Amino acid sequence: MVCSLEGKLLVGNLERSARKAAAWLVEKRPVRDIRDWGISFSLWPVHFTTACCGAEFAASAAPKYDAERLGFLPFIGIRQCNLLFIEGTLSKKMAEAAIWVYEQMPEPKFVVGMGACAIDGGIFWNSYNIVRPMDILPVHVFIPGCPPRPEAVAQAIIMLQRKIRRGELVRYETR
Amino acid sequence: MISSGERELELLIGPQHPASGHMRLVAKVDGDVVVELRPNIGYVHRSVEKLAEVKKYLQIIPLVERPSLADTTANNLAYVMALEKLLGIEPPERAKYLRTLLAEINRIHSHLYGLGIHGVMIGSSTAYMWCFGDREPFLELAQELTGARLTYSYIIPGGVRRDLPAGLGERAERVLRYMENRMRDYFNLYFNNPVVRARLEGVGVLSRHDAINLGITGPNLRASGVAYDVRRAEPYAAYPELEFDIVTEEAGDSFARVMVRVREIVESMRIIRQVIRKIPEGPILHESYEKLIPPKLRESMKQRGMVKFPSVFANLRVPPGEAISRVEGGRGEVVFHIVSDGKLSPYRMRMVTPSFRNVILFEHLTRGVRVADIPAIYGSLDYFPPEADR
Amino acid sequence: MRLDDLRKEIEEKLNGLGAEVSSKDPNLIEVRVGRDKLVEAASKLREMGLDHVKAVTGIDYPKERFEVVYITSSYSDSLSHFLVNLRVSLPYDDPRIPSLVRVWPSVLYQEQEEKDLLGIEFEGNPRMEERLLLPDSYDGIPPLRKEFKVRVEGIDA
Repeated sequence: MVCSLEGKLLVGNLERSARKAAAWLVEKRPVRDIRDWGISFSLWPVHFTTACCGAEFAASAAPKYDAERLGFLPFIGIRQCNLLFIEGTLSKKMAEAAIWVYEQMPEPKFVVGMGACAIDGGIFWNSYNIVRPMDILPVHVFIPGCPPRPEAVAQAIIMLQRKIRRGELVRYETR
Repeated sequence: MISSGERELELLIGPQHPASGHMRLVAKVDGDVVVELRPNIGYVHRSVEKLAEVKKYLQIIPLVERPSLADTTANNLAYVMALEKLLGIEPPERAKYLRTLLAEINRIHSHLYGLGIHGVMIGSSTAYMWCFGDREPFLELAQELTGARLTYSYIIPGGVRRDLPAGLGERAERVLRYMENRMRDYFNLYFNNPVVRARLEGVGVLSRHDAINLGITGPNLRASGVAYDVRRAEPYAAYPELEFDIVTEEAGDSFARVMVRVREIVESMRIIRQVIRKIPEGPILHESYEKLIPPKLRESMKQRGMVKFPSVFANLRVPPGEAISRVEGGRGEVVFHIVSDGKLSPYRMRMVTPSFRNVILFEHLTRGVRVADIPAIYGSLDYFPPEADR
Repeated sequence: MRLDDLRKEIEEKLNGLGAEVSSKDPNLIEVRVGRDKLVEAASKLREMGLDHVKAVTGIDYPKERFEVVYITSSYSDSLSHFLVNLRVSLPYDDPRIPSLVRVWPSVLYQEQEEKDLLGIEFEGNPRMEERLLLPDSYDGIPPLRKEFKVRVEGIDA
């Protein structure tokens, strides 16, 4: 393909080259650091309550603990969110929905497993109707507790932010 | 999907939606009008009843608390009361008052939770922020009494786990006075707000006859004018000695259901004041269990005002038989039916929670309403899916 | 009203249905009827003012019988203190029972749950074909039956 740009002649696929250049640039310092810093302070969890830890999750977004000061805003639309909180037990019926929700979220996306049940079933470890989240989703941070206190939720957010800023989690694939 | 010639559209709401919803509502809509709505529950079914059959009696206390995390005391108390009926013991007076105290603190913060979530559903974030913010002082009180924010496991067979901490009375009084002042703000901003009234009044009307017929329970029942409260019908804990009114409303609509909760908060505050004034001195654990504790440990526990789960409880054996207990929790009546065969775990434990009994309202109240009214009705039921699914 | 009075009233009302009525302090009355007389007995109790069902418990005694207990009570001031258990035994290999949803609409979901988790068929309940709590794809023995084992804690758990 030959494109004409302000009178100059360019040879090759311009779109592909631009994509390649952007992908190269966004993985280079300092652009990468700025990008990760930006992502780490705009973590929007999707409103997806899987079990009873949702009560403490709601409390952590409420005035006393105010997770919004960490750039953490529970939001309705899946397509605008980049964080999935597994709030407690994941039943078999809910696991299906969790995968749908996860797949609809845009990249880069993160998963936090909240509560003992999200780690290894917790008090319901031998129940016939639960799924361990790490079997079906890539979980980045676990929060122990039954239920975890809102402080622990804030701690998890900070841990996730650090992980993102260290550049461990965000990878753009060149397509 | 609309196929040619059909007017009805099937609308799936959930399980991912802005409300506190771990359930799916399957609505058939004709334009903006709901023709039929079916709740599809089971998204948080964790088989509490089955797991209870393989756990020891004391291990079940935390298990029954988990399904209704915002209202744990009711389940805890109902379960322990059923056990006590089988064991044939009666807790000491002071323990009864402490149980009442925690139950009422729990009722207040459970109602505030419900009101807050309702606020989110009808698009009033202020209500959510206020209710959840004002819930915290009560959680702090409960935390001081029991050591946990939500999952107290405070009530054990024959008594309670901790004594009243010194100075809790004054701090409770401060919290109550704060809440009373806030109540005025709530009315000004929220309950007397014309927008809120327009969204809630006359929406989802449940008649008295239907409420009784469908076996509805809790504030949803009392909002339809039925003065039924387990605290009166079959008094337990310290309620026979306390003065309180059963709050009822006549209208039966969403606003009435919200109002019942608000007025119950005021009643609960009245009960807390009485408990703190009238609480008798004495032991907090039944003497037959107290004497099983080694004397040295017993002394130190008396001094610290705490009961550790003594090892004697680990192999608690309950005589064969059946017991049914009921307790008025924040959302309504909790019923436990325990069948014991004299072993270390119950043979069968049936746990019927208020949310499960109120599920039927989703299909009953939403027939013929507008789609935008679904959240206004859903929220006013104070429905908590994990509690219904168990 | 006293417990004994209520018991006598129920005994009179259910006369001829072969019901065994017993009472237990402080407020519990047990009524045991046969499967074929269940609907009739339930209607009689409903006429007395027992207007709702608090719980439907199914109990599994393996190889022996199933028991279904309807815990009923009333919202009226005079009766709300009492609980009346309506109890039916079913043969183990034929767990069918007429549904009481016409008598007490409040049992709709409770019966569906017992069918879902315990496999007792309530004939006449419109929700018998649907799953309630278990996933739609669940296929196996109903989990609340005793033959369904869950893992337990132990050295080799």
